[in-house]
Amino acid sequence: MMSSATVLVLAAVLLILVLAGFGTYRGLRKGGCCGNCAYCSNCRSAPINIKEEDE
Amino acid sequence: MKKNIALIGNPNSGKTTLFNALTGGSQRVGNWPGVTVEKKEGKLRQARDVTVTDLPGVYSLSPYSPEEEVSRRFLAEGSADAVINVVDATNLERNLILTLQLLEMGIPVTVALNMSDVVERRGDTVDEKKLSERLGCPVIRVSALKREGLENLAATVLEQASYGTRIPKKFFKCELSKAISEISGILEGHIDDDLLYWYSIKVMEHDPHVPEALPSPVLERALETVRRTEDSLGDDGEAIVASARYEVVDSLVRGIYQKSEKGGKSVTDRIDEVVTNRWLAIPIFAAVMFLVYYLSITSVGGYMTDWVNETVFEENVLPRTADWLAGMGVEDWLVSLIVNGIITGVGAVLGFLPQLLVLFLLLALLEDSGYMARIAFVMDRILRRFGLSGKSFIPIIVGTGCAVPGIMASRTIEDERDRKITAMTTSFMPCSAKLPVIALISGALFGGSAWIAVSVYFIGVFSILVSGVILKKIRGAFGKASPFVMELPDYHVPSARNVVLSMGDRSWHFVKKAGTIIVLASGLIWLLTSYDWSLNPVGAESSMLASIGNALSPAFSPLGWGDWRAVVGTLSGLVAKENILSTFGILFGMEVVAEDGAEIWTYMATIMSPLAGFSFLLFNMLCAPCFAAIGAMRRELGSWKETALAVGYQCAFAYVVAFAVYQFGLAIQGTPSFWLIPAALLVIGTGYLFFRNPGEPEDEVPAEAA
Repeated sequence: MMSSATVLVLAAVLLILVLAGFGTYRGLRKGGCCGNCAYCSNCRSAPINIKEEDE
Repeated sequence: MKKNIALIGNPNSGKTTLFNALTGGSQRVGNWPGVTVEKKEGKLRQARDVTVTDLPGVYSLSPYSPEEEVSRRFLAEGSADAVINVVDATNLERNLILTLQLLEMGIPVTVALNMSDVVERRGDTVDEKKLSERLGCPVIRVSALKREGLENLAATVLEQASYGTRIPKKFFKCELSKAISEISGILEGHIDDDLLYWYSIKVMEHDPHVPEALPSPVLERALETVRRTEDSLGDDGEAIVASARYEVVDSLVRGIYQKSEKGGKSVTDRIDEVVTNRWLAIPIFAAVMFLVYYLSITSVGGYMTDWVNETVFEENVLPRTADWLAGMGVEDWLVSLIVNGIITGVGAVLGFLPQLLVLFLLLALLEDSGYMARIAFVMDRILRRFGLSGKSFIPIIVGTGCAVPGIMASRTIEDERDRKITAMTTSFMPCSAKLPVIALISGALFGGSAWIAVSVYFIGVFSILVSGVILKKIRGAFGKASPFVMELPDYHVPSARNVVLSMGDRSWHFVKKAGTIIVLASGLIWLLTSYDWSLNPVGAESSMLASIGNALSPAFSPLGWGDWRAVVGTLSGLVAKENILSTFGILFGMEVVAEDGAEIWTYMATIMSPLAGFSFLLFNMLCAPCFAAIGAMRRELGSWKETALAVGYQCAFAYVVAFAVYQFGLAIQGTPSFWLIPAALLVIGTGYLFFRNPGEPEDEVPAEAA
């Protein structure tokens, strides 16, 4: 039987891992960043794929 | 009242700086052309319902490059109610060519006469009132850098945006003007009235997109007029229109720009005489890069990193967290996950932030001052000898910060094969995620020498050069370097705002990665290091990770680092290069990875010699980049097949380099091994691919299929 402190800390760790996973997913999905600022913290606009638009 | 304002101008005319000033945005600004590859949007400070779109820098609205394509399509589709045309006042004639084309489209244009302060400093004058009268549109004097004249500009462009009609300005005269009117008559009814005049000019220019918009019989009739005019004027339509525009601009600026009588060479000219000198340029560049890495890794950054690692993490965060959790009664395995896994892994990466801050600051200073643009120019001379374009060097400079934007920046290269080869090789440069790995090896095995970082930087450049030639020959495109025309911006004292923004952006990106992907990877590495395949708690040597590393280690033994920990460090680096640090931190069971501390030296020395460490470093610098960069490569290469080939090439190239360096290094040390012969054969094979005569370029082979 786990102590209540262990359960609470485990819940916090799991929350952090889920948030980190979400952040990782967003980061990789943007891996495709705009190519200007490069640093997605400033990304204001969805990238346009010129080739796809041409197709 | 929702309105859209487009910002357009020549490359490096200061559009992004003006965009940031108008919108309060913080898009990255670079003092070289091609920083803006795609359009960016922001809200006008003075009226939040007005959207400002920063379009890529272009010299014209022809459809020959991706940037021109993006800008032209945006304007032709009527997406903008008005346009701010950013004109570099120090280079009026060339900039006004684009202004004429915008006015021909009929969109309400406001000319922002940027860099007026530079004109004044030179003692020159521009008569903006007269220019406004001649162009038939408002001309507002601004300085984007000093944020002068912006209120007036915003008010004027908002007034222009409220007109809502397109009235094309007609500058051409005589026969050309008559021909365009005739073509307009033929196209009438087939083209939107607003764009009739502009399309007529495009027909005259043999624009490749015109046939898509017109029925063939109509186009054929219009082309008869074009052919008649060409015969009469003795040139082709595109050249006739281009030279007519130059004549118009010539007459427009006459008497408007008054040069100072002082004359003589400017400060920029005098600096350029030294830093772009045929013989001095490369040694100066090497010295500058040495200083950058010396300050960031060895001295200033190194001291700060030591303090963060030793005082903050080792003496405070880790023991205090462990004591606090244990005091609360949290079970040992969970304390281990948090302290030995997550905090150690993330701390090992974040500990290097001070060094990166110094590196980012120095790179931002070099970029904003205008020096980096000279490097592209200098490198063009060298690259051209190898059949490569200097334009490929811009993505390489950008890639020093992060490979993802570097790869994206390759799209400014017009030639498809050059573009793809640049996208495939840009990640050879040491990006900011690789810097901590360099600092680790340099501190642990080479006494913190800055030469390690400098050598990796130049080996990156060398690898791009060699790979460029090999890949061009394989793709049958050798000898056709894309033309590289680049305007060198004036040097200026770097703007504190731009430097801080650039440094802040890059650092935040690094911290964000530590808080996301490194947290996850650290948790996973801890799990794989603490348990065996039956999920029984075991020591690291019997763990799942050890069995994976041991299975793969024979492949890396010839490179000098067959220890399973080095192998799994390399594998984890595929997710993000910083992971190599966090993996070592967790695997060595250390509390922190101090960049030049005694602990790491001891641990690193147990698994690799300095020579093997250098081989390890080279392999990790040159092999497949992180997942995000692979994703960016997929976007630029257009298919997973080409991406897989590119990653395969990078890994093979990295293997050959690391293998050869280690085996030849052993031979030089007087302890050659059996592997020297295969290493020599691989080097000869690479040399053959580099020097072989590829024969005639195979133009008929499409790049996608090559």
